[in-house]
Amino acid sequence: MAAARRVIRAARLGATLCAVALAAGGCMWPRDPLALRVWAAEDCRTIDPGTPPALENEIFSAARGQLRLSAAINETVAFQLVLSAGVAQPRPLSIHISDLAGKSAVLSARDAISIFRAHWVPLSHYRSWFPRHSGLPAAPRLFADVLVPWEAPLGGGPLRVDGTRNEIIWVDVRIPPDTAAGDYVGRVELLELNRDAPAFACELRLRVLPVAIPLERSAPLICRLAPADLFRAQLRWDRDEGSSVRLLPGAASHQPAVQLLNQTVALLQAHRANPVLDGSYPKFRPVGDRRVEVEWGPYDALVEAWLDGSAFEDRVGLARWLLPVSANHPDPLPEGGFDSPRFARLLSDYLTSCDAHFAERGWRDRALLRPLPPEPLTPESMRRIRRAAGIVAQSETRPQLVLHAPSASLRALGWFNAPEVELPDAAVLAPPAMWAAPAALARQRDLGSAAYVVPDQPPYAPSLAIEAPATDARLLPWLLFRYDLAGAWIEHAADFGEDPFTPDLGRRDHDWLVYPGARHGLPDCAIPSVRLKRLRRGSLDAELLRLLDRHGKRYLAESIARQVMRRALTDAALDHLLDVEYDGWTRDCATLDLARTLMLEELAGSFEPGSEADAARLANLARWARLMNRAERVAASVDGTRLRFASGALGARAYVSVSNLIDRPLEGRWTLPSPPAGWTLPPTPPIRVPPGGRMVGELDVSLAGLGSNRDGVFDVELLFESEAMGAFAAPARLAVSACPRVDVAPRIDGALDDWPRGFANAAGDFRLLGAGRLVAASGRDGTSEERTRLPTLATNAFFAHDGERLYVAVRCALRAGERPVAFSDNRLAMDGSAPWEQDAVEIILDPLSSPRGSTADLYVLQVKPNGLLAAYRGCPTQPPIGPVQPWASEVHARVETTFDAWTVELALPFSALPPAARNNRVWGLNVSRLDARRGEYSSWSAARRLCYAPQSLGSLIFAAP
Amino acid sequence: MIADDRRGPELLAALDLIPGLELVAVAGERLAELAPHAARFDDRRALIAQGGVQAVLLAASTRAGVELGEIAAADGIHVWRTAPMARDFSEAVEIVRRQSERPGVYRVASHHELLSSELSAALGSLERFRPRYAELRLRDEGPTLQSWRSNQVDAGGGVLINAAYAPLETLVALRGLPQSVWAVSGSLTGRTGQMSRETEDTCAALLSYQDNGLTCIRAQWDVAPHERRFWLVDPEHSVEIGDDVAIRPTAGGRARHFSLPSESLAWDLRRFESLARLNDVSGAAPLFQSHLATMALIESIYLAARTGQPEDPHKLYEVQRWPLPAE
Repeated sequence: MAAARRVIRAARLGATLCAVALAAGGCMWPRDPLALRVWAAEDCRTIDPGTPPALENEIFSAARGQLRLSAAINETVAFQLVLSAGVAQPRPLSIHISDLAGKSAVLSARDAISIFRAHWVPLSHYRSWFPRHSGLPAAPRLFADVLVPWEAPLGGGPLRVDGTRNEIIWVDVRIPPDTAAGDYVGRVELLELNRDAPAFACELRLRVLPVAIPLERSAPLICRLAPADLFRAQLRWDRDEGSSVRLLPGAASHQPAVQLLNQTVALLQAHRANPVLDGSYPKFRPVGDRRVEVEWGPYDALVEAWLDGSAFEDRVGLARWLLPVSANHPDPLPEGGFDSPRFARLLSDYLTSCDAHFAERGWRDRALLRPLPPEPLTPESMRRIRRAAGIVAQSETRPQLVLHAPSASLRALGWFNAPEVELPDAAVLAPPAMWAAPAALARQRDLGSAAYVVPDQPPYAPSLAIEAPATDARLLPWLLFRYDLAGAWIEHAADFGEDPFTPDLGRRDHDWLVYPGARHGLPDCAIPSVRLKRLRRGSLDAELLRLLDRHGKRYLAESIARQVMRRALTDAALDHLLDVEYDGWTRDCATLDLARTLMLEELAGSFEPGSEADAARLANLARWARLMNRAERVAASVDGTRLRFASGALGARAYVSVSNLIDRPLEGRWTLPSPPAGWTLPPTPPIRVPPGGRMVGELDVSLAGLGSNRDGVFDVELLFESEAMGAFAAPARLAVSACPRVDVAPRIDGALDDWPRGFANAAGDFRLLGAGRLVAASGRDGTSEERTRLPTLATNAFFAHDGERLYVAVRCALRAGERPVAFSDNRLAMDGSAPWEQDAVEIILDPLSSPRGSTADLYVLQVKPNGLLAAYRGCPTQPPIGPVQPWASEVHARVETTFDAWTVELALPFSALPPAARNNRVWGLNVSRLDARRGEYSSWSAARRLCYAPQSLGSLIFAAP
Repeated sequence: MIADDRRGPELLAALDLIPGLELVAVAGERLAELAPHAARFDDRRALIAQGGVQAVLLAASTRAGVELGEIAAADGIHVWRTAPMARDFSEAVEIVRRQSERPGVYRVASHHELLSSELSAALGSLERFRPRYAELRLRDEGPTLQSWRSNQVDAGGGVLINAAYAPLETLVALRGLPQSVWAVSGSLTGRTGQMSRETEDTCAALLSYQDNGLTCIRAQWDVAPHERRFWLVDPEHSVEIGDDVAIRPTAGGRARHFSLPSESLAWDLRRFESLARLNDVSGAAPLFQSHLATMALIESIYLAARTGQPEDPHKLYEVQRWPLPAE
């Protein structure tokens, strides 16, 4: 009886505690793993379909049942509410967020809160930067990106958790300009249909700091808005019609299009972007005597509310606007083409008319003229740009001419035979980030010209693509501040093609920022993407940086920006444009939030100084230390290790580099703390790396001999020991294999069973380029993710020669039953410095052993699973970093695919190489493999940044005849 | 003349010693009582705009000094101001930038100019005096809560920028800028239950130099006994600057003492008067560089205290795109 009473008492106590917890706003966390689980995450946290719950994080505490946000006045902050369950939940859930009550005021939920439901977008095709930048395999996966307003007729709320993947509710909290600083408290509840008790509830605590973000945008994020895709998706207009239509706001038939455009412009503006319309050009006709008559009425009626701000809730007009001129307006074809004098006259006259009208309307200062879209950098594209600039120069107008061109030839950055660049001084340059040299842009800026950047791809700029890490979109405005750029030019803000919800198979860039709303029952609306929200977050961060600057704390602002955005643009390139590191900026949402918090509190202290602010500053010291002492600011690396014979002695030469991104000189020396037996590194001289600098060097290690090794690799760890920052480990690999002479050559049939074994003639243990891929790791704090350079699938290579030919066999393991990816065509696409899209094996040869040479000294054989072989003298990169030409290699190759591998077997006659190669006993050689299904590019020598660097090759030792 | 109540009388007394400067207008009740012969303006801006003055002497809060100095300088009126030069480095750079295109003399009072001439005479030459070690110990009475020095917006800082400005100016002039600055600061001396100032009352900093030299700074308000000691030690001499100046051989020996002129304000005003009379704009300019360097040092100390990280004052020059000072 007593025991039964104790059980009942315990049950009552439990029930009471539950009731207290719920009453106090606590979240009830079910023990049942199949039950519904809800947690809140930061707006820049990546949530995958299977991301496990994070019960305690920077903004959310399940234990306390609390969601904490801090914001400045005029800011919009956001959070994600993530819902998961092991099984489908029976009832749909709706969300309710109460008004937020402060000490003296109430923040009305109706004014302050916007709720969206995130939808998943499936992607399967990526660019080569994706796996290296994100650490994720280039495999099909889902990305949460489409944000459907909660009230939308289809796809909004309420939502049902189906148990197969996470559901995400995105909540924006806007702090209106008249909000008083202080603490506000409200409640977030998820309610099940026909049930009173919430399925989830937590307290929402919002701290509004006494800092006001200016309404005006400091560095415009110019979003080119070409409406054709929107009109097609929403209004079912023909795409050509959408491109060429001239909207008449007064015409009833055009009303839906005008309304859609109005709403889309307002949507982008509300997210602190600066949309510019590239379409609906005014009608004009030449009227003789070099005059053009333009029908401005409909155009003005369409755009004037955007320019004076009356179309927008905050009444802030667009700071930049495109003159209604494009590559096709006026149309060059009827005038004899782009190069004809007649077209030049017409364009000049039309420009004069535009300029006069914009001046009359008071729009001239914000007008930009962008005559040509971004094009690949070729002599022809540069000629067209010069031609356009020349026509503008001859007109009587002086608009801000935007040119998507580099400020100087990119030859200095290693682009072989890059076209010459001669541009007018006054042009506003807006190059893609890969062409944007910070020093050159700074010079341009000093001459009084603004510099924009087109965000293209990591590591030159954060990507706006759907698949990019969650912090990338947020970081674009940081990049602008870091490099003092006038703004960003986003070319494809609404160019989403045929079906943005299941993007085109062939399309590789997924960088549109808005989606058509029609699919969700919103025929006159575009809807935002998660990336647009994050871009807004970044824009607000950048305003905080600028506020610091305006309060005399420029240095502090720059220091913070440098911690977050260490390097980008062409600073990301080391020896040349394709020799890049992908570590230029943080991918850690917490670091960005920490930086924002510190900025907010620093500004709050400036605006309302006092003992509280002083105490906060003292309390922040540890946070500052976390932000500023990021070890990534110093990077020591071994870029390659080559075998060498000097004066008859065996040795290895390591090509090392140290990058110093701290603001003080860094002194230290290289050591080999745990040398393998027989390895000796003599004491090395101290080196001094200037702030922001990189020092490269060579370390000679003497080797008593090389033992036999199954994979032909010797991994060691060098250390750069600095006085100020401690020691930095730099893994190094000496890859060496023997090439035995065989009397009976292997048969080139794709089968490797006749190959000689046991002669140390194998190469294996391949390593991925860059930092590698993310894998789950178990630690004391639970499961986390870390990077590994081990590829998912193994690759092995074997070598032999018969005095006439070099024989190479490569076995590429596959998952059982998996087929290699290969198209039945005769091309192998390159994306930057790697083969891409199709499986491939590369054999990179340096037969004259010139580790200090260039890519021109290399010979490259590429083989794909359908047997296609491509041979080059030089390296076939895009863009070219050295001379490259087809090589008549006379290689005989065969490819075979089995149940669990595909194999390449080839014979290369020595006669196809320079005669001196025959006399050289040690060749530089590497074997690399692209596993296209996962986007994993790995190599035997464990090249870190680039396989096409002579110093990063392994070594092949030919047995004496 | 525009001055606060604390420094107004002192400035008037100094002005009496300079026949070339005639006081024609004052702003402020207390000053008007002390200088009944001068026209009185209740609005300080009106004094500058309508006072018909050729030069304006400003001894108000740093914020007011910067703002009023800018109005006067823009009107071509010569400006003399008490230190600090500005509330932060960027504001100081802005003053110099604007002033480089203007005709009038703009002088911020310099304690070091006076000290250096005396020190130079005592040491033979200052060129060879390169102190490897310096130590500043400053304990002073703090301002009231109502004083502008207690207000962050008006003063830009507390004990460091207000009480330690003069010795820091000397330190920078003799030693150049350090390579690294470590610092802590805060409002630590207020009694429990009392309102505290917005500005710091305690600051300690360590400065290290390219040649491994070191400077130690400790400055506090409201801590007794009050003390103002500044040691500069080079291999040959140890110089101690307090109420007077003592110079000793570093290895030991008898000290030589000399006093600084008691009318340091008058000395400075006399320099200003001679520059303004000749409209010698270029003669006033070199002092700007010394003040800029002092501001860079002060701001880097504040920054280091805020972030807990070592800071390099030269970075402030780079950020402002201003030429680095000659070392």
